[in-house]
Amino acid sequence: MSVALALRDVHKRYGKTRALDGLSFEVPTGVLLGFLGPNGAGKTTTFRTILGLARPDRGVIEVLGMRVGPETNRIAKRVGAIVEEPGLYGFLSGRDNLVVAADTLGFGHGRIDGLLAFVELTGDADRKVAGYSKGMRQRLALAAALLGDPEMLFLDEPLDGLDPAGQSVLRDQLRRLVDEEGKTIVMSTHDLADVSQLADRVVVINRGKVVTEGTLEELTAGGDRVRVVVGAPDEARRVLAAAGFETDGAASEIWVTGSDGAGIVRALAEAGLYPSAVIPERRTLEEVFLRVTEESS
Amino acid sequence: MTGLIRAELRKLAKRKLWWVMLAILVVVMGMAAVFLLVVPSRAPEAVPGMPVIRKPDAYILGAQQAIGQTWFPIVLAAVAMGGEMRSAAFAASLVRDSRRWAHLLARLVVLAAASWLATLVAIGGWAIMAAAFAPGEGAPPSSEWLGMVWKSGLIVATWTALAVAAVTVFRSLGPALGAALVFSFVEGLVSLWEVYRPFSLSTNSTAMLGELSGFDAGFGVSALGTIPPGRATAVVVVWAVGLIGLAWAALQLRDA
Repeated sequence: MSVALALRDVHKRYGKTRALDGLSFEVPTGVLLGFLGPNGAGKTTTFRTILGLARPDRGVIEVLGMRVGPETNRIAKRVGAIVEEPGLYGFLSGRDNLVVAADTLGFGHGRIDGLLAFVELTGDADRKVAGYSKGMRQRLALAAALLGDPEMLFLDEPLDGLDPAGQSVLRDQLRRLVDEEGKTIVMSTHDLADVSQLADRVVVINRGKVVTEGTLEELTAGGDRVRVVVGAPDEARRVLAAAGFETDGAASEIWVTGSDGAGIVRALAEAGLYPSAVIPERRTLEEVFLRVTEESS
Repeated sequence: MTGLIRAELRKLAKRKLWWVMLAILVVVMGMAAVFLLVVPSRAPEAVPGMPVIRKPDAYILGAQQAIGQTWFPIVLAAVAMGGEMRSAAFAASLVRDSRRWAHLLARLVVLAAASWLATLVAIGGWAIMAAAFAPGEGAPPSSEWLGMVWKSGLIVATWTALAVAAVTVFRSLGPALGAALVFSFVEGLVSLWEVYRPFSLSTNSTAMLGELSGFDAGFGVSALGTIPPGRATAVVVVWAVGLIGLAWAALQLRDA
């Protein structure tokens, strides 16, 4: 699989603040990457640096095989982005916003109607954007980012502040862009549920450097456990420990490390204990995120 | 570049800003015309000591008054550009190295042209008032009218560049607008200082159009005769280039 984005040892300081501190990661082509990090981790700075809006102090960034800096002009033609506040003009209609964006970026007007339909704004295209909801603005910004039919999209918290219906529409559209059109999307967000539902891969950064990365499967692997609900928890703990299981938890709930639910039930039944529930569970992305960000802070 | 200019034109055309400012300019110029042209000739007792401006100087005075409305290009450019600063459009189009010159020039060209058009409307309106109310005969030759047209364009473009530079330096509408307006006022005052006067933007702007006989257009000081129009034009061009360079440098040296 080819690499759509590569950052190698990227540093960026704002005064005494070290925004990026040797940031390095790669994004394969054709995936939706969830780009996570706590507030101030450097997510927006990373986007701005990749897009040529901020100059790195040191390090190399390659987008679609082209170097940011000497080849930013060529890169700009092949990527779309929504960074921070979308560049929309409230005094223009949705359609005029796209016309202005196309003229500004040097793209034709041929895709405008199709993009308005894609983001489900055809009916509102001639209304002024000042009257749009936040969800409509985000969708229009997505349409503007897609004007040049980019191979890659950078979206800075695109679902932030949207109502559940708006989030659902935008999530579907992003997924379609990856699955049906083969685009690569890098999406920063605070919402771990979005990433769990949408992302193929995840990169978590903190203090300007990567703290973990991988597929959702990889990140949540190794944390399998079984929740056991039983009437005599203390005795059950003793029985399970004697049978070689590692246990945790409090009160009537027992967490058993591993995924051997049948072995747990057998051990308890042989001791005359019958659990009311034995539920296998995986480590969640939220747990992974909290653990790695706490460890790196 | 054509696409960029088209985009800027569309943005400007879809706002009421230019029309509102033109209405204010017409009112300001109308009041000035009544005070400087109509009252001295029709009711001299109301303004004792006020010189009567005769044709063809009355026409030149109109051009000087129109180009003296420096607030117009400053406010138009600062508000039009300043409104974009918090959006990604400003960052994506201007701060990024790629095509920065093209984006900067497209904004300058469109905003200066819009202010120039308003200035020409003001000069034309004044000319009608001068034809109707100023005593005397004659009008400037067509070459002088043409000179007024292009010279007003250069002057307006320079004040537009000042506002654009202020926006790129301050990256905030309020401070940029305030700084540019204060500069235009203070620069006019400082131009009273003889050492600075040959380099003054406001003095040289007025000098480009030539001196009026027997009338001081600004601050009671008539030193324009010491600055030939050709030299005055060169000084204004240097100001324009310097301000555009300042805008570019402000974008180059600072991240989005």
